[in-house]
Amino acid sequence: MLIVKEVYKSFDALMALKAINLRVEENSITGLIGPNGSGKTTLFNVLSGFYSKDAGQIFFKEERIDGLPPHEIAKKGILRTFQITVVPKRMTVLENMLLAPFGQVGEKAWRVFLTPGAIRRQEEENIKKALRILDDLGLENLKDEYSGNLSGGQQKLLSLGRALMADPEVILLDEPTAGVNPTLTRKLLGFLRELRERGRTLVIVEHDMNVISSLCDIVYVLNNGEVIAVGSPEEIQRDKRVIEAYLGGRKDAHS
Amino acid sequence: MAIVNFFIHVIIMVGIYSILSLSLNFQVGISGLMNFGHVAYFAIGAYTSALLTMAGCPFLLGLFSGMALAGLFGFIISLPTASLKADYWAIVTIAAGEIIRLFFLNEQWLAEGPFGLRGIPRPLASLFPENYPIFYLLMAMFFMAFTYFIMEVLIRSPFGRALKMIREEEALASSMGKEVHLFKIKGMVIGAIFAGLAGSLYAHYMTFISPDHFMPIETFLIWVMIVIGGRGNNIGAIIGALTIESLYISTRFLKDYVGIPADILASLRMFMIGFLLVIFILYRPEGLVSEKRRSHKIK
Amino acid sequence: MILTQSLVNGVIRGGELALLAIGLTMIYGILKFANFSHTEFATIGAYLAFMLTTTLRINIFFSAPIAVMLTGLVAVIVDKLTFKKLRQAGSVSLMVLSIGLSICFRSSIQSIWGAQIRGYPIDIFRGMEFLGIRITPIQIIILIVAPVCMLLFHLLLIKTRIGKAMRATSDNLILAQASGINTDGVIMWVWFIGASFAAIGGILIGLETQLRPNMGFAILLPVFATAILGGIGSVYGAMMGGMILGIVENIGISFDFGILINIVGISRPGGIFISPSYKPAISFAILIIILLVRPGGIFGKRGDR
Repeated sequence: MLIVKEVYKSFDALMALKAINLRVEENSITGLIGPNGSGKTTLFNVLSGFYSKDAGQIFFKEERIDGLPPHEIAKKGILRTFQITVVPKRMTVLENMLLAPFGQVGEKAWRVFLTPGAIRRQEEENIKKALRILDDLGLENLKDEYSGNLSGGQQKLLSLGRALMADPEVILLDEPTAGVNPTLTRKLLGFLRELRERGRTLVIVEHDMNVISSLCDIVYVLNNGEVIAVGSPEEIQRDKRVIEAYLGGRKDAHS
Repeated sequence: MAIVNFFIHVIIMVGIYSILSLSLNFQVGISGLMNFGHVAYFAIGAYTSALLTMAGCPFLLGLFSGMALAGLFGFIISLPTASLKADYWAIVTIAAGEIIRLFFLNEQWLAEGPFGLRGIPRPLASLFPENYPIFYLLMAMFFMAFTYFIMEVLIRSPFGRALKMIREEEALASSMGKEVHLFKIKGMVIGAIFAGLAGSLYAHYMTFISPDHFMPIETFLIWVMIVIGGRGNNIGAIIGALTIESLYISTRFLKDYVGIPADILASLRMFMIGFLLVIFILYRPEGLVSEKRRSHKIK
Repeated sequence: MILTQSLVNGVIRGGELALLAIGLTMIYGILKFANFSHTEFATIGAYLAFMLTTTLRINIFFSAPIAVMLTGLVAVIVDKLTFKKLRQAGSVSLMVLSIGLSICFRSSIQSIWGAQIRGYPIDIFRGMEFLGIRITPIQIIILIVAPVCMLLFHLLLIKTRIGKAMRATSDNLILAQASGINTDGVIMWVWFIGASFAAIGGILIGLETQLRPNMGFAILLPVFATAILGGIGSVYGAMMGGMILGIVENIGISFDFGILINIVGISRPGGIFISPSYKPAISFAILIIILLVRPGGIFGKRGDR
């Protein structure tokens, strides 16, 4: 479904990505691991259109998407979350959720005046859906709270909620469980599995090997901008190169 | 009687400047666009409407043309610059505003240059031979309410919501599929259109306009209004306009009571404006009225 | 020779622009905000010198340096009272603050000295003809003073400890702090020197033309254009940018664009000229073009946004 072919990316003298080849199968959960600075987030930035690549091609459902701006890639069905959760602080939790769906007619200024009825209907539907998701996430009572006032863990849940709300085909999750307590982590994992059940495809950057083992079908290991290993979670945990890359065999480096 | 006339004048000016501050607020407070050349749209609206009506066109045509042309200029300005950083945007917009003013100043064949346009027709003047100012007051209030209504609807809509997110976290908005560039242009154009409306109202009220009326200081004045009133808040914008414009106009009459010459009074007035801006930015940046929190009532 | 006259006028103007732009670009580079009140230091310096010369009857040779020092002091005080309080606020807040301050400065000066044109009480020597170029003694002074100031500043940056500290702070504030540099002190000096240079420029402009309360504001955008053209934070860029802009401005209004059309075979009697009253528009246009094409300027990074 998502194919990365020979992608290179450098910043001045630093080669951040070298000959990256990746295959993400539909309805799978793919893991992306590697030491800090190995290029994981850079790869996400290239995939989502925030960085332009130097060479290579990226295909999504047979269509080339490299070079497209972020909003175009999002509209094609690939959503990403950020390593450090980003929320518009002075907007409420519910507003955050309502921002997520694609194709909202109310976002075109002139339609606000010409077709208010259609907009209102869409809004009502979206509100219902948003409240349902918030309820599942346990955030319903915070719906009118400024998202900036939420705790770190709650903001992470909110960003997941936004992703659920938008319901894209592919979600790129950048360290979804970083800084999240174990209870919340289990909840998060539950949601992610549910997404796969619904036919969605996930790519997850993680440092927590337990998460990787329990979720991922296939794992890519990055080091110094290159893919050094590909395989199931068990396979890559035993891979010598992977162990070396993590400096002395620490398999789960919690960040 | 003079007192009544004075109040009518103040309210009309407050009305016109409210439209200006509402429109700037839409750009700055809602869309996060650092527009420091707002006076340009004011000028374009004023000159367009004046020239067209002086050539025989009906008032409403002049009004709409002024709005349309101002909006067009807003589009032209924001098209190439929408991806610039905030402070660069500020500089570019001031420069653009000055270019417009210089254009009107130098192209004498168009609008008499420094001498300005006189005898701008007043709409429906023949219908109200006496008490014309009251009619104009009602018209100004109508347009102010109209602008407020449009702004409120836009802000509460998904469109306004998207604009706010772009203001807050642009990269996030982009990653969620919002076409940031397009939204910014729309924000700019909408603000420009209504500033053009204010310009037209100004021209037909004053019946005389010249490039001197459209110096950069006008933009700064409107900025003071939205900073004091509260950025991102429409009521705040109106309150800001009310406060500043009242202060501004009423101090003009001080000279009759205090023995200070008029021009020194004028500079003291400007000082007060600058001082208010400094004080508010330092100690109350959210303004008098802060942005409302959207709570959704569930049926 | 109109071209050489334009060149000379351009270099003179370039010197003035550079003097004002140096402080602006330094503050922009270190404190990361556009100080719209910077050119008011030129006005303040010019009027302080005026006051010292007329009211206190001090000779211009002494009142000028005193005024320059005083202006530097004013800048330091203003920073302590206002900008410092907002160091952590965004560049937008600082920018709006600076606009408020510029209004305050301008209107105070106008309240005290009035809006009318003033001039320094010195004998205005008539212009001279020199190798076919018209030039006044004041302009010659500008041609000497501006480069000398820039040279002195260059030496300061290279040879002195405070200069090195300034360069380090300008490059990377956090790193400079971590290296033990007293960045607060450096910032204070940057304000002092930047404002002093602006004051020198203001006095020179006042000597060359006249004093008006909005003399600083009138030159604000060209000075911004200079700083941006040269690359924000780059002092040498400001110097070069000033020269380029000054020359382009002056050649722009004396250049007969009719020549371009003549190539195609059309001739237009009287030529095609940009009206001198559009002179400021030339720097505005350049400003807009730079920001769109290469916001980093000459010495900035490519695509620096």
